[in-house]
Order: sequence, then structure tokens, then C-alpha cells
Amino acid sequence: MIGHQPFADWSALAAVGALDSDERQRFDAHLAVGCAECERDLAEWSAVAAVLPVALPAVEPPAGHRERMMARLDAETAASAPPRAVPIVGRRVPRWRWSGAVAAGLALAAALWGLWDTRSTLEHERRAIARLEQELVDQRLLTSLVSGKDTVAAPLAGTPTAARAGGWIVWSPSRHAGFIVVHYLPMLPPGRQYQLWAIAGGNPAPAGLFDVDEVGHAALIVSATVEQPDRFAVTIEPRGGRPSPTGPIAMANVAPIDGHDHSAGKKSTQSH
Amino acid sequence: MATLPGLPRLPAPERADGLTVSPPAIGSQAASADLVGEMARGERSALERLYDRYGALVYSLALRILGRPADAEEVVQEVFLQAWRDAERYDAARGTLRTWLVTLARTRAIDALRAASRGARRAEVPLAWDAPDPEPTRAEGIGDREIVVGAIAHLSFQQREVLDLAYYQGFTQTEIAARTGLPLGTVKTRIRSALERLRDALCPRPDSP
Repeated sequence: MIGHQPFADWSALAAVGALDSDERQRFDAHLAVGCAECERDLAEWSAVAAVLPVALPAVEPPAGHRERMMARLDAETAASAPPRAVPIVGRRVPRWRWSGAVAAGLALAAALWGLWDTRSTLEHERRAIARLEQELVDQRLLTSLVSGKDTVAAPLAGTPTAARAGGWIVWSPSRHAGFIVVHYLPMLPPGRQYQLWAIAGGNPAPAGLFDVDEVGHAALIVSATVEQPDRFAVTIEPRGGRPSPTGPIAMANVAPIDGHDHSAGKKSTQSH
Repeated sequence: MATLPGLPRLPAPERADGLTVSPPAIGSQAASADLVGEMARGERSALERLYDRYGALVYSLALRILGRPADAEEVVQEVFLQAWRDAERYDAARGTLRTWLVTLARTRAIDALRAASRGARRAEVPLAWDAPDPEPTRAEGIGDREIVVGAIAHLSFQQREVLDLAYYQGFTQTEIAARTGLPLGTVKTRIRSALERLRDALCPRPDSP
């Protein structure tokens, strides 16, 4: 693509909003002339960046918020009718063009809605509390795992038993806990289960049992009594697991457990 | 120990340059196209369902960027109403519904942040992933969250820092270079490598370790 090269690295920057405004304008102009390569890259990096907020602690909008939004929609629709059938060229439909009285009425209606909604959801929320408490424990653990200073991450690879398998483990020695994600592990026959082992000095300690779904994925929080495992391995065991490994190894970490490759700032940076 | 739902789904088809064609498929995208189609036809309940599915995510993002619940609520309403108006223009081939909404939300929230802080920028906030948990009130999607939190754990502190400055605080690469004292080229490289590592952690290629 002629003229593409100067823009080749811009997609990733654009996806996180890091282009300066004049650069963004030039990039948009470049996209507008139909650079398929940049468009594709931008879509891909935007998809990766858009995953970031999923890691945020999920906060529910306040009660009644949805109803207020729907009231806005109705007001907007009424103000700009017919809303969709007629293309309006050359001018923008004013979005907020209602009188103060209408707005006040809507606000009151929304507030009443909110009250009703709060009461009706109370019971539902009460039922969810027990479940949430457990999930809160899990969330806290994960958040602390990620921010923990000693947390390490290591890739896992399949052995010939599960050649396509891959994944990674995040481990916090101080918490004796971690998080594992595996992909493309074969489904096992009934009566068999994958078992994870944390191995220190050649001694494997059981670190959890899991099944994979139909495409070979699994993710789970793991814990083990081992403090400084130098290896993790996944074996195929009878359902329910064994105190020490008996079956074939399906996965193991490719390199010894090690810290992130960011030695430069690990100790010096203090923005936590 | 818990087995967690919401894993990345099927392996994405490969492209010659090694990038995957589809984005990391966190969360169910099933019926997304139908939902947008219904919105484009003016079905009011489709917007409500869209909100039910993504309202907490969009609100959490807006709240993270803006800090004030009132500002976040305003942005969330604008985002969903814009999605309603633009439903006809949504193209599933170019990105998932969640990506579309999140991108819309981030852009609007950053615009609002800039407008609000022309005089004084917000006080320093901790990195998004190090922020203390507000009381979570929603259970769904927890599996997705764990996957992403785990993937972010693969990033170095410096990579997380540049992503945070750009994505959540709205700084451009030049501004990031000025704030951190890093050369501009380093900022560019670091942002790109952070996204690459995140992608690889979320969506490893089936034939690579």
C-alpha cells in the first residue's frame, strides 16, 4: 500500500488514544483513503485495548439509571421524530431540545422509577450477597496477586501428550496461590482429570484439579503448600486426584519460574 | 478452588503475519448482531438488553476515568444513546459489540475529562489495576475479569504504567514522554509491546508454546 509505511506503527498508539491530536487527524485521513492494512491493525489493537476495562472492579450503575436513560431516549425520539426513516443531510438533529417543564417532569418520573426499582431489586440483591462474598474473596486474591511484588508469570507448554496445549501461570510465593489459564488441552475420558503440581526441588505438591471445556480451555485459582516452586506440571490422573503424580505429564512450564522481564523498574519504581 | 467460566473461546484463524484475525473473545458475543439489528429497527427493548449486558462494564470504565459518579452516569447514558443512534452503522466484521461500546465509552469519557480539567487536571490516581476495589455489586463476567487480570499480570510495571497513562488518563505519547522523562521512541515501543503481550496472554496461538 503506497504511503502506508509512515503509519505502520500508529495503529497500536491510536488504539489506546496515545496519538497527538494532529497525528490522529493525519491517521484518520490515511484511514479515510482506504488503507486496509491500517484499518485491520487498528481494529485488532482496539479489540485488545478494549479488554482492559474488563479488569476493572465491576461497579453497577446506580438504581434508576437505566430508566433515566430510557426516559432520555423517549424524549429524544419525540423531539426528533421521525427519528430514523428520514435521512437528515447537512444538519445535526439537536439532541436536547425540550422545555424545562418536560425536563422537570421527566426527572420526577425518573426519581419515582428509581425508588420503585430500588425496592424491587433489594430482595434480588439479598439473594446474591452470599455468592458475591465468595467472589469478592476471589477478586481480592486476584487483585492482590497482580499487584503483589513477588508475583511471577510463566508460560506453560504441552508435552507430546498434549502437543497443542499452551497456557500460563501467575504465582505469588508469599501467598502460596496463583492463577492458571490453559488452552487447547484435550478433553479427557470420564473418570480422568487434569491435576496441577507445584514442584520444589523435585517434590511435587498437589495444586488443584480441573477439567477443560470442549475447546480445551480452563482457568482456575490454584493454591499449594509449596513456597518456592521452581516448576509447575499438569498430569492426567484418576478423577479426584492423587497425592503424588501417577499419570503422564500433559503440560509443564518451559522455563524455570522467574520474575517479569522488567528488572529495571521492579525495585526502583514506587507508584503502587 | 473454583473453575471459572467465560474463557476465551475457539482459537482464532491465523493470518500470514501472525496476528489473529478475531480479537480476544472475552465474553459472549452470541446474539450481539441480533441485538444491534433490533436497535437499528427501533426496538426499544434491545437498548435495555444492551444496557443490562454492558452497563456495568461501561459505567466502571467511565467511573475509572472520570472519578465522579455523576459524570460517569452522564457518559454512560450518552454512550448507550449514541449506540442506539448509530446501530445501523455498527459492523460486526470490524469488531465485537463490546469493543465498539468500550471504545465509544473511553473516547467520550476522555473528552469529558479533558473538558472538565482544562484548568486543573485531576489529582494523581493510582494505576487502574492497583486501585482498591470498590464494593463489587455484580457477579456476571467474573470469569472474564479474572482472565484479563491474569493477562495484565504478564505486563511489566512500565508497560502497565504507559497503558494506564494513555488509556485511562488520556495522555498522548508526547505528554507521556514529557511526564515520565522517557524518549518518545521508548514510549511508542512500550505501548506497542504492552498490547502485544496482552494479546498473546489473552489469545495464545495454538501452535506456539
